[in-house]
Amino acid sequence: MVRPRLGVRAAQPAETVVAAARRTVPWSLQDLRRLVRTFAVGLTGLVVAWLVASGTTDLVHQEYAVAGGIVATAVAVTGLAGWLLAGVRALRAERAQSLPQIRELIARRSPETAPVPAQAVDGPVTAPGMTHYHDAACLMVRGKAAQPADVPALLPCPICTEGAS
Amino acid sequence: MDVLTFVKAQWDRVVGIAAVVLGAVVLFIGYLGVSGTSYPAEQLPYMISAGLVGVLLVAVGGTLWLSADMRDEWLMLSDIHQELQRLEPEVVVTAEVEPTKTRRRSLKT
Repeated sequence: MVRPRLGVRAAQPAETVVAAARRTVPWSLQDLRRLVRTFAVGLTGLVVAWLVASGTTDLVHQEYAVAGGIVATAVAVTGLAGWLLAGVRALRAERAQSLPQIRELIARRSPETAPVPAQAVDGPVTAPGMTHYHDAACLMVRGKAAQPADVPALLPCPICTEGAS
Repeated sequence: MDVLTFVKAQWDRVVGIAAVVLGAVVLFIGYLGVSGTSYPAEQLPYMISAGLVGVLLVAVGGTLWLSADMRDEWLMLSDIHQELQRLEPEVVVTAEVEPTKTRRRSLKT
């Protein structure tokens, strides 16, 4: 279920529900409600603590009021921290979603670095950065930029090469 | 850019700075109140009304500033999505990107 987010117009066609993940702000309405709730509780606690502390000269009562005020401040600060945390999480998710698309685009736009199917290469294959050579059907080279392997300079793959372990 | 446009574009940073300044002023007023009397019964209400509220205002200011940074980053990611879709529509598998209505200028530029 897609959570409603801030900065979104109300009525949207059903096909753009997925698009609702893109907003002008990273927070959802639920995040805003949580912030308002905790902040209101904290502020109310502070006001009550101040009223209690200023309404008496009894130190014991005042100490309780100060302790209550500190707790109320902590509640309000927790609300602020939750707000920031929600933003950080939304940003992280958005970044994680964008990165594969950017990588794919770069790969598409760079033919020289685009993956070559291993099956298109005869004999043992390897890929840039690998220290082993593999069979063309090996899982380790699937989807990578395969190239013919310089067998003497590389180690045999322990998965696809018999006797190599 | 005139002041009004700047304030509109950067309202969260402006309010954040104002909250921090206000918090500092409130803390100072609290200090004056506490130092003006030698009776703890008169000092403790200042601790709550000025001390804790001042700290909270500073926290609110910091949160607003960080929120503004996050919002800028979010809009930047949104722009990247738009650009991705323009360059290679089939790469963007999720959906269409909602166009950014207002462009915010980052203070870091």
